[in-house]
Amino acid sequence: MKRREFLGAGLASLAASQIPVCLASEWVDSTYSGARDWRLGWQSVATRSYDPLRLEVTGKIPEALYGVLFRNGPAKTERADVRYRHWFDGDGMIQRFAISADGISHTGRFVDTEKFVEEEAAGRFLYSAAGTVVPNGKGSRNNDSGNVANTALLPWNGELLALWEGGSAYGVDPTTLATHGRKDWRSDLTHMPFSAHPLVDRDGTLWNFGSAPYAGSNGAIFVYEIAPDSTVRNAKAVPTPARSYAHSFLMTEQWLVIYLGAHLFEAGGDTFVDAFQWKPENGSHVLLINKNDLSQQHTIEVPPGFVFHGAHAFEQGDEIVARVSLYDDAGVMDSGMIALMDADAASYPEFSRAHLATLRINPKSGKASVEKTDTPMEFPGIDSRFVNASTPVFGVGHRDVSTPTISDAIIRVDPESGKEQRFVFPDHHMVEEPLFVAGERGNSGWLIGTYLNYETARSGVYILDAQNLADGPVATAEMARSLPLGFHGCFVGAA
Amino acid sequence: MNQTRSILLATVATLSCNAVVAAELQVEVTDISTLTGAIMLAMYDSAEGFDDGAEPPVEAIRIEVDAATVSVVLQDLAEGEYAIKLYHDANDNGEMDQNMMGLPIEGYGFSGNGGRFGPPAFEEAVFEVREDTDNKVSIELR
Repeated sequence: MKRREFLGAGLASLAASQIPVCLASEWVDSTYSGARDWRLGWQSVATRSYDPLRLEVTGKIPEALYGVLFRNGPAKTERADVRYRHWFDGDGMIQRFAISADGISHTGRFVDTEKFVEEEAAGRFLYSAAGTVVPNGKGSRNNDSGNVANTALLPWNGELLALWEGGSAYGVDPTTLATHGRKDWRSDLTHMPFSAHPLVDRDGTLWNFGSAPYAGSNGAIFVYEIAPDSTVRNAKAVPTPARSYAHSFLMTEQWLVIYLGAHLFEAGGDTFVDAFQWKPENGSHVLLINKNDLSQQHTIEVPPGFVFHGAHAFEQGDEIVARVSLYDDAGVMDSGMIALMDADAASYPEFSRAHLATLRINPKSGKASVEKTDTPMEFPGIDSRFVNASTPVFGVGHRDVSTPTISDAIIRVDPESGKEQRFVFPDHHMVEEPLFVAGERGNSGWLIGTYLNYETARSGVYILDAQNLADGPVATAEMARSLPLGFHGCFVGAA
Repeated sequence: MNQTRSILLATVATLSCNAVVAAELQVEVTDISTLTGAIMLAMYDSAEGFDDGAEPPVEAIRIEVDAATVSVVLQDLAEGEYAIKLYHDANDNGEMDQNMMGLPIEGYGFSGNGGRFGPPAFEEAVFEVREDTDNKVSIELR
């Protein structure tokens, strides 16, 4: 298919579904001679919400997946001829896939953050984003001035929390996707950093941290322990050994485990992203905080690396074992996610990719080891019912290990045996985070996630048998609507 | 809303850097989102006062909030250089409420509307007040 035909077909299907999608003329490179354009995954959504649209289902949807799959991600990346530089920057839009015996229906809506509402009215970007200085912008008031609520979602007390990391979570109605407002938790926690990856403990306690690498002399982590009724049990500042970037954490019975990368916030740089510099000579650190006594902390140095996400952690003897997606450097954040927003269509940007790795940390001896694998892995997850050394890890990878390109594979690794399964999607598919949903019996379960076929400009949902990835999807569902790629989601069962 | 206050401060006369000539200054505060409480304004005539709090403000006034923009006219000012910092005491507790990081959770602003990571320095916020001129500063509440 020639490029013109692809664009024609893509635009025709978009027009048919009446989805306004921004294809800025300067963005579709006029010199590009290939047939397809992966950059559809980083398009800007012009409409404020998506009307319900039914997906065409192939295969049979398991009953365990009746419910709602939610996804969050940056979707407003252009206003008034300004295009954001970094993938972190776009305003968050929640995609909602309602799954039942009748099939799957999609709706979507931007989170009405204070920023989004003000900029929507102004018709232009007013506040500088994590990775972009906008022209003629307004000054930042506080940590929520640039809050785009675009990173992840968590069901909490009947609401959906739309999460960012630099500032507050936003509460959203899980049915209508209407925004209720900012979650302040407590007066003195207003406008505090709150990571996009809170974890819910077995007793229902919500644990989270906020990263403030700019605070104090060496940066700080704020730890939050929130009771199931949303009252704050504990909030504590913990100093860090360096001004490291920290995106998420893991949790064992006793410990909070935070990986502090060798990517350090330095003075200077026009944006928050640009203020960080890769400093391998400083090493990385693992910060352990005792859940029963937040003042009990250990900081243990590990070889330099960079981590956005971990799969899980557990205690084994004196050690804490953590499975993480480990990068050799911070290129993904400081240049890769910029290149993705503004690349030449013919060349998917090159940057180092994450591989599944195991950290073994001994708080008694203060020693730690890192075992890297060759398995490319991002957006890792597990079946959280069974957390031990043999728990399989699921995630997103790519078909050609030696030449990393577009994420087009779902991978399962059994860490103890090293046994790996993967399902590679057909050409022109980009796949997103798989979520594990328990099956009807035993240890069975399903992986559900979304993908974009950028050749046909159709987004879809995949469902894989978590035990048998290589067999391919038990069901897929597609629609004549293309969504930009997002970050994280959650599944809420119908029962 | 306009408030006119006549403020005669004996201390002004003793400040050598400002000549004692009666001048007026209109201060406008815009972008107020919560229409409760009051704007608490402090005006300084030195870096020692503005930056370090080592000198008291030459003006310290309260402006009731009943609209998104409020203004006040300060009279009988000595000619010279000044800088203003203010906050919106929306809950009327007499304090600029802060979060755990020590950052304000109530609106605030500075003359010159500068300050990106923390308050601007006196030199960035400074403006001149002259006799026989319509002296006016507009401060955007953040």
